[in-house]
Amino acid sequence: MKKILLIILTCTGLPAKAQTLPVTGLEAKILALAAKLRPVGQGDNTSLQYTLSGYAYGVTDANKEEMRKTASRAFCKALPIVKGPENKAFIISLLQICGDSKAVPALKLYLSSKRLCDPATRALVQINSPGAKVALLAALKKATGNNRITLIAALGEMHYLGALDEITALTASNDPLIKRTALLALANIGDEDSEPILAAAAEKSQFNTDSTQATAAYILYTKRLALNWPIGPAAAASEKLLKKSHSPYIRSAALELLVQTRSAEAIFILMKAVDDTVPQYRAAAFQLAGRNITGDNAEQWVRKAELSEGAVKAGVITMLGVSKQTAGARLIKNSLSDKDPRVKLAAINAVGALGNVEMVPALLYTMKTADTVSVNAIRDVLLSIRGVDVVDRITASMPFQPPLAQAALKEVLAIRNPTEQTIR
Amino acid sequence: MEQKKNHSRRTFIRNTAGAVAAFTIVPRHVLGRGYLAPSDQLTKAVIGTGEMGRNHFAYGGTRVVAICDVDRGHLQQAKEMLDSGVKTFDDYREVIQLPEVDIVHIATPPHWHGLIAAHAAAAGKDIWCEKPMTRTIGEGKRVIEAIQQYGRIFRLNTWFRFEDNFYGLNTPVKPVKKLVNSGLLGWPLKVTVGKTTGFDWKFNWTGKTNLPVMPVPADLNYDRWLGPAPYKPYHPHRVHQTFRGYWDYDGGGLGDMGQHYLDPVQYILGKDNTSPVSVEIDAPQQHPDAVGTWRRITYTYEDGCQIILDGEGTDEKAAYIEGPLGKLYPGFKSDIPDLEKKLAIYPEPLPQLTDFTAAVRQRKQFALNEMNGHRSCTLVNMAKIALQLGRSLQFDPVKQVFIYDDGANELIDPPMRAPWNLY
Repeated sequence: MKKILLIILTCTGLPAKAQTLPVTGLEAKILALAAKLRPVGQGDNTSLQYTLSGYAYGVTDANKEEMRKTASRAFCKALPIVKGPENKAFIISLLQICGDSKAVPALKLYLSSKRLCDPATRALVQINSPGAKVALLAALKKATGNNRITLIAALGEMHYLGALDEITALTASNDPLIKRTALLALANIGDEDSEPILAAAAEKSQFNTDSTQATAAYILYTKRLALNWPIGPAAAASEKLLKKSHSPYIRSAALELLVQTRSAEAIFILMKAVDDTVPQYRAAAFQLAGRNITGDNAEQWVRKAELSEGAVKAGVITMLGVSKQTAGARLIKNSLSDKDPRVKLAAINAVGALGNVEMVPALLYTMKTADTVSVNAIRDVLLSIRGVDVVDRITASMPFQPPLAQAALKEVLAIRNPTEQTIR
Repeated sequence: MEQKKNHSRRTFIRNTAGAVAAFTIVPRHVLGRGYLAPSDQLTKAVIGTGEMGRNHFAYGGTRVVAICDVDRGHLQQAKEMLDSGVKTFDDYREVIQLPEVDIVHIATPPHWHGLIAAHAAAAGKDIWCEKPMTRTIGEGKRVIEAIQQYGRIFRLNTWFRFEDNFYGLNTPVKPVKKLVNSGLLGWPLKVTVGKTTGFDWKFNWTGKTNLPVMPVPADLNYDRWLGPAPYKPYHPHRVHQTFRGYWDYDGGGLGDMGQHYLDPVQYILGKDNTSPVSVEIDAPQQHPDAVGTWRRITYTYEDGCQIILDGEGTDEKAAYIEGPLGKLYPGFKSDIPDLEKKLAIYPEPLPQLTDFTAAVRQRKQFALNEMNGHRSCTLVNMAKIALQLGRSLQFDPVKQVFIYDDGANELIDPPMRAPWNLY
């Protein structure tokens, strides 16, 4: 028990004599503890699991690199000693936490095991050394059953170019699960030469989502390409996706990738996209535009709104307000009197989002002829705008307001104390 | 007793469904303006039909058209509560492809949330997801990417930032937000979330460490239940009502209640777009599989604001919020004289879009969405990683990685069990 406590103290980073133990001694103690793990159903491993995992987690702390190497070495030596697959899986899970490249030879022995291929693969993915990649590819060549799925997915996750030929061949598999996993892995690797295969698969799915995940793979592939230089192939793939898919959400994904890859032309691409007739796609384009708007291009959006009407104009106004672009202040103010109720409501809410106290008189003027929806929206905005003279302006306008607006304004005054004078 | 309750609820829903069906044959103009015919209603599929999932059946404005569960028993019980036309599935990948489904409700254990949310977004569905949003920080980032890339609308199933009394604080969050915005408490602020300020951390959600292997029930597809989580031999304590006690699926009481308690705090402090720069823990060493207890967790933000999770409730004098100029206690009590009078002159917090069906129809971001939901979930996941490692951590809220700690960073996005993946 004393030995267990000593190791716990060591691994939790507390001052302990254990830190001065010779490395070989510590390694031997870990091995001894691991050997005591009893197979499932034959005893309680709780204390041993606390000790060993506490040590494995503890040595991942900064400045404990030597201890980490010792732990990795010791757990590798423990693997053949521990009894039962669940205990081996437990030790492998510790190597997933603290293992280093030297653990690869020990882990690769389990890549052909039905029970242990998954934990060993995940440990190797986490180690992610060149040796780990080679080991996984070698295992894939001999693998059968579900282990193939595990290994294909892992090689994709590690973006291992060396596995390209093997995985490309598997995309022709008749097994739909293997084919799907291989397509996603190929996409994840992101090599330019894979485009025809992935495009053909997506084409079969009509560039829509289905259980083959071929279109999802093509989108993933385009995202991976977008991380490379030159960016041309990624832009071409995005355009293909945008052109060939009829699904508004696939097109939304393609639009985002196109904006990312052709960033210099992003504003023109987005301005065209917000004119689309499909509301879902248009809304996604506005959200994307809101993320890309800057002080420099806000004026262009203002001009776009001035040349638009209806839902598009309302969308631009909302976007300008939410992204707090003061360049849109004049447009928003003028739109308070727009005949289209969508534009008017968007302008009211944009005033609230901007928090512009100078627009309070315009809001009050709008209230005189507003319908219930607009009156309620103006009430909410007046409640949230900061300013010393908001209450005074409301009070002054009260006698000139229709009954519906007066009721709403009384509500505002009741919440915003009429004695409000403090300068904030 | 529980059976009787279920029976009553089932009977009630069946009767109600019958009444709704009867109404559908009445011409709409007879029902008056504003009536929404079932054919005009948004439709939903509920994935995960345990106790939590069944709560989702009743969320208003939408109609259940499909349900999915990997436990046939759960699925059958849920089906009996619903209209006979509701389709049933045991694989969520089939549900999200249904063209008649507008919204996917995710009420599975948390280790599935990220996968289903991202895949549902790619399939063009809007999403209503149970808390905690994701089991790892990495999954949260992927969900944001997917939601934004496919232009979807997302809401998280906690609501205290916009409605209801906030647990033992015994007041809604809105006036607290107004108070903090006013500056009357000063800055930086310290928020204490514990038993003495009205929040119970539910330490009964701890795991067990010496479970014998048990046969898997015939109704349960255990491999599918585990999904992306590492394979562990079956025991009933690992699944259904007690799964929160295991790190592979959640994080105990912290996972269960953390986002309910912490999301409003992020909102109150105006931290919706950021995360703390450190998390300090005072806790015993954790078992690698079973979630244990903890005494105290302290988050610190870049500007000095702090959130303290008081697991033991030892600080009896703790204020819920403490600033250099004043304190706020449960029941909106304060040491600031005439607080309500002073507060009246300040504007209300900005309105929030809190009607999910309106958000879906208008394609507008819901009040609690994938962005701020991920940030509040990150608090939970930061603490879980610190507890598992047994040490305090520093965090970069922009890059969303731990600083000088490779071990902690490996837990941000651990690989999933094949064939599951979240690219």
